[in-house]
Amino acid sequence: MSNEKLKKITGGFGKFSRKNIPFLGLIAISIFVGIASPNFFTEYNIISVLRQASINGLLAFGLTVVIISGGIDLSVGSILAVSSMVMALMINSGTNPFIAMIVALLIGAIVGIINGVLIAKGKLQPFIATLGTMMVFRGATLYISNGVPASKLGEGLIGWIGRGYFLGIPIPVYVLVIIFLIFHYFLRNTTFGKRIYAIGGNEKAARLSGVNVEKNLIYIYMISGILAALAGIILTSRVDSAVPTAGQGYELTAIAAAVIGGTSLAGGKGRAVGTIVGALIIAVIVNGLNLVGTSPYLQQIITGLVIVFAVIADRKK
Amino acid sequence: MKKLLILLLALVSVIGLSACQKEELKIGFAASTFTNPFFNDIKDGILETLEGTDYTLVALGADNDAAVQAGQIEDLIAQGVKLILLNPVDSTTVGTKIDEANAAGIPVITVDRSAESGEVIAHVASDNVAGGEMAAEYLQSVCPDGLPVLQLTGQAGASAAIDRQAGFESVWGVDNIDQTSTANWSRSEGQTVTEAFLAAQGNPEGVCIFAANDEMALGAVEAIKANLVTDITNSYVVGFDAIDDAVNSVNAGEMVATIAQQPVEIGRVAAQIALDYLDGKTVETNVPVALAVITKEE
Repeated sequence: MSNEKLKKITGGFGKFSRKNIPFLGLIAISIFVGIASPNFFTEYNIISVLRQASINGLLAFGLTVVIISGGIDLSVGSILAVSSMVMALMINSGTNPFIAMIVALLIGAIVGIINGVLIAKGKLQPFIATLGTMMVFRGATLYISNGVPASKLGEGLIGWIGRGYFLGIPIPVYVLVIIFLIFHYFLRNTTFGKRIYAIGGNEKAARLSGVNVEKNLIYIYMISGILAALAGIILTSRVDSAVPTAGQGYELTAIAAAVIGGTSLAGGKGRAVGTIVGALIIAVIVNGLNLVGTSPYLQQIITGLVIVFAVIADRKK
Repeated sequence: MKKLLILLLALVSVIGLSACQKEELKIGFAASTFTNPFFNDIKDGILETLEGTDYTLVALGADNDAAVQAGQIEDLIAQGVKLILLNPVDSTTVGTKIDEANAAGIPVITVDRSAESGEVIAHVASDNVAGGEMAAEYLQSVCPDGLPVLQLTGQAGASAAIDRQAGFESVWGVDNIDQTSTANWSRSEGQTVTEAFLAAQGNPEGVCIFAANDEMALGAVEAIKANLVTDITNSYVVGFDAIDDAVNSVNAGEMVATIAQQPVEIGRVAAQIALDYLDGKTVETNVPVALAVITKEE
């Protein structure tokens, strides 16, 4: 093979691998887990892993959009908790589950809007604003529930969305894929999507070129809130109960998935594909370590190392 | 860049291959958490029993997150464990996961906490009712007539709170208790409630108290010590759980006793039942594990 052709192929592979580091990482990790445990590549396990990735994946999409815009949302765990607690309390007092789920999504949207207003109009730093709302809405969850879980929500729609199957695949996986497709499309192909990148890349320039930064930011945080509520609905259904401590710490795992997937905390960069791969990487690591039976504390160490590697790899682009 | 990818692969492979396994006989232990020494002790007990057998233990802790536990139970099922020892995060809703394990042919034994639904072959736990009874009997033996009596109960709805209260009252008699209030397992609440009780009783010379856990008992001790009239040496406070602070308090002569669960024993017994069942023997379905009264070391 001529030198030039060789260069083209390796150069092409190099470009492919630079652009798709998260995906290659997922393949690599999956292969090694598969070698370490013969139970990894079984139908039951793959389905479990996909379902286990769905809640974090949904939160991570919201975080991706927020981080691309140059911000952060620490309150998603609390939004998840408060919206699903209200939903569960409503269902237990007789409300139609479908209506209760809509209410949960509305609460997610409203809290998200509150975040957006604090940040866009109140000019608060996203870290501070969402740190505050994280605490406020966690407190609200404890208050309305009196510290007691709301459980046994029945078998109907609310049981189906987290525990049901269609054609052998769990419903949460369908939800994850649908949301992924929506985000993939709208980040790449809509004006709103492009504006998000613009705001994150250079807010001043975006403003000067006519983008209504405030309005868009409010929408962005509203989206994060809605996704947190959706994740909450699925989580609540999966465990058949809404607990006041639900979602605590989930914001960090969501940020991890986004970052591993190539979203830059500096803003302006990130992809739906990267995020879903990031969420899968985390789920495979957790699953792999469970299958192999190593110390549970190792999971956090490894996930942390993967984040560091991902950021270093990303910076070298 | 490629170097980093290789580094990452190397890291993963080291972890993976270092734990490479041949076909093994595994028992799973799905615990609510391992950040509480109580459950680590249970695990130690299980390991003791499994030592020398062909079985290895896969122990996973869920950090008190029901969703994490659901995933861990799935992962235990996926790796084909022969039996699951389950300490549920949420007793009311873990039933669906128990059903899933049973459907995969894996029997389940609940440990320390029960499951409201789902078929388990056995349940192994401290007998909290007996613990409440033991506390009442001991307090009866040391508490002089005429002192006011306070019962501090745990968080409403917790089975341990309900059981300990029931046991205590069955021996002591509800009518002989001057006040029963909850302090929600909390030391500071135990202190506040006791302060109010002492004031309501007109600052007595001494008091007899049963608290459903040591945290509340220690709070009560603080309230007594702070009171200018009520004397800790004339007071008799019994707690529950035998945490280190409580045992120290008992040895220092402040609390008089605490009821100790025996988590290592719970683990031992649960693992033994697992082995017996897997051997084809019939097993007891409900196995209460004895508690012990801890008093001042002589």
